[in-house]
Amino acid sequence: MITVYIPLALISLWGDGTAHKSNNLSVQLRQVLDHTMALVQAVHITCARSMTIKRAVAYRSFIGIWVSELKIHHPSVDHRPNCHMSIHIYEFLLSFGPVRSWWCFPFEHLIGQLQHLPTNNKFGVCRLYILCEIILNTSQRPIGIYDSHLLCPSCQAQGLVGLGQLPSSNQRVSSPLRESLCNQR
Amino acid sequence: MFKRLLLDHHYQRPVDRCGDIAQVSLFIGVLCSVILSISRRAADLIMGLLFLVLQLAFTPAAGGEMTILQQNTLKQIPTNITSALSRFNLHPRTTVYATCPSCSCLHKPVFKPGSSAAEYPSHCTNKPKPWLPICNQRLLQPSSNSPIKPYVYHHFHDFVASLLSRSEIDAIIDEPCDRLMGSLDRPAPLNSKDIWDGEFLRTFQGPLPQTLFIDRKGESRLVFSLNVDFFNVEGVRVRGETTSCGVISCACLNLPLDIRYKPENMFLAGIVPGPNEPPGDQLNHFLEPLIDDMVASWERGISFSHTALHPSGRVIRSAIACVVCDLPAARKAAQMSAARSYFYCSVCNCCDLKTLGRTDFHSERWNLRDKATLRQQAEEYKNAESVQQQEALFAKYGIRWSPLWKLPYWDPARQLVVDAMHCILEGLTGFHVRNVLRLTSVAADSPETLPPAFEHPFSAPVSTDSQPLTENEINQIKGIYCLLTSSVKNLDAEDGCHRQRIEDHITWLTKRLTAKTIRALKFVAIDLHCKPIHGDRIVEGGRILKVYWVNTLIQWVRLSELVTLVSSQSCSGEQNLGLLVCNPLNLEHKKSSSIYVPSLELLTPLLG
Repeated sequence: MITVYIPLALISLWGDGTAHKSNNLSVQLRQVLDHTMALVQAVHITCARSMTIKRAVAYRSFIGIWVSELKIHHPSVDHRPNCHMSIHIYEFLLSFGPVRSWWCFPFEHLIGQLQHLPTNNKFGVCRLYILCEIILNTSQRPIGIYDSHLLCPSCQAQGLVGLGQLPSSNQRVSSPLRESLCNQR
Repeated sequence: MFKRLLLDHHYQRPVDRCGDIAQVSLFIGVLCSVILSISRRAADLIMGLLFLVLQLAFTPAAGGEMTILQQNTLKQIPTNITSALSRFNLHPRTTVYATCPSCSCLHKPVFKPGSSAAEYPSHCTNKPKPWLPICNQRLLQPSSNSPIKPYVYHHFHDFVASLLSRSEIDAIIDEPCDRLMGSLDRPAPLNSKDIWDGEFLRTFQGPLPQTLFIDRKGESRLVFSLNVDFFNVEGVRVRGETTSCGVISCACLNLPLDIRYKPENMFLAGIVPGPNEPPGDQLNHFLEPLIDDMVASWERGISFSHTALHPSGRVIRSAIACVVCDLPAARKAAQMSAARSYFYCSVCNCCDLKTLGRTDFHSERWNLRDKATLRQQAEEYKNAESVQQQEALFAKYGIRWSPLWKLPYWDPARQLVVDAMHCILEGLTGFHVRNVLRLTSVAADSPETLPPAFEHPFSAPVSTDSQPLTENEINQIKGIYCLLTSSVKNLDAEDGCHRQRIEDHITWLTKRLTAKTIRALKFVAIDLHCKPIHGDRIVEGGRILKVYWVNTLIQWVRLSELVTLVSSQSCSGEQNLGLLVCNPLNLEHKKSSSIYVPSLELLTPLLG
């Protein structure tokens, strides 16, 4: 949204070649557009899959422009703590690399899975306990099942299990079941 | 030296000893329960039906006995799902703590020899602070002797063991360490693609003095990111959040990016029980078990008896490289002051909310906060002897004690990251689009409001002893201020009806003002040095009606700052916004109000 649709819409409304009632207005709108684009560029750099020192420096200059000019173009809004903290992302970009290794998306995803667990809709102790137990089952050990030499790749191919991956090179113990299944094929 | 763990349960499962038919039957039940998430009752039904089907299939048509093998198979199939699950050894090793409902202190269960039933103290024995008495809150439910508020902690070492019991993980877990170690003599790659290319791990000092953490010396070194977040268990509802539970989880950064965040590879340490977030420093109790395991792993190293590719075992040391949370949870986990407080930044020395917009990032203020000073301040807080002293220290330094300080390497300025997703993607862009540019559906649907015609330094309504005001009256006074400065609609339309429009506006204004209370009108009129008017003369004594106050305010609007020429079309941030037509005679009278230069062409029809 912020990197594609909003810039497209705003440029077509306020960018070069658009007509406005007065000169003053078009200059002012252009400044607001440039200010918005500074933020868009900063977002773009943050989400990059690889990070260079040059990019990090560019990020800091863009976000610096955005923060310092916020009050000039929009006198009625106040700065938020996020404005300040966003400048520090520069340091973390340098020390931890691209943002994919240290952003919250995967953890929020985990929470989403927690919220979608079937429960008895009674809030409380019992429910939390079960909730915890279930998530520990589901999140840690689906692979554990496949690890127990119960299934072989052929079963997966037959569509018995559509979830998870089966370690195909798992040849520690050959269970009788496994052999029989393979023979059947 | 190393703490040794026996891990046979990861490699031996009772189900392996069952016959083929029993194995498949058990697997069907477990699959339904774990992966298809059906309820326990339904899973019990499936197990029962499976048993029945097999029994019918085994019974010979001609009558007679089942073979011994068939009888054994039936014996191996349990009819409830709980025992089926237990044969797969699916349950991770956990400790169920009893949490004190009042002070959140955790109480470990005690197991009597030969019994598997956990026993807890019946009342909380914790002293929340050294100067407070023992909490003595009830911990157990009277009927069942189970904890009122259990907190299930999944053992960190058990998670690592289960991770390493998978051969494909065990094979690649050391790869990033070795790769980075091999490239240390070369300069850092220009193009960093992962956390391992960043500066932090290249310089991160390990548990042994003078060596880097990645210099593993035959051991295994695991790097984790820790997340603490609060969420609503019941999902996002229309009526907003009702409950809040915390979740403490970790991701192992040694794994390649494509499998790092799969749910089976993430470690869920525990769920902080609700229904509300633990206040103040009570979250510390929930973090403690995990941090204690982390400290043991860092200082002593954990020797695993057995991993998938190392049957003779290996030694593992783990560290938390970064703590990834949204802003409120990050401050709560690190026990630093909130984002809206005087110490708003956890990274640098900037403070005082007035300077939130500063961008002079080359000045000294922007230097990272010093780790040793912070640690000292946190310890001072912990060792304070009274509640006043603790509060004074918190007000002075903006930091409390957090179990994260038990980690010898903890450095909040470098490891408590500012989450880019919450800060930039959700925070700043949302703020910019919604609040700054006002591109919201509400703003699009609402009728276009005209900006005020002019500004006047009205005095703020304050309730004083001599002139007490109710809250309603204060709101009404503010409303009157808006009305007095409101603009006339469509005044720049060129149809020659300007006077008519202004008169219409005055009529509308009179009606709106009459709806206000007399006390509010009187306050505004006296503030503007206007006297009540009846007809043409000023009313000095006698009974003063509401309409007299309305008259004088209308007079004020009419005479001093007549009306504006802002049309509905040209109000979007134009510079001649609030263009004002003044009655030239009254310019001196209202020196304090901001007067804009009247545009001549628009003035002519009005004055003429």
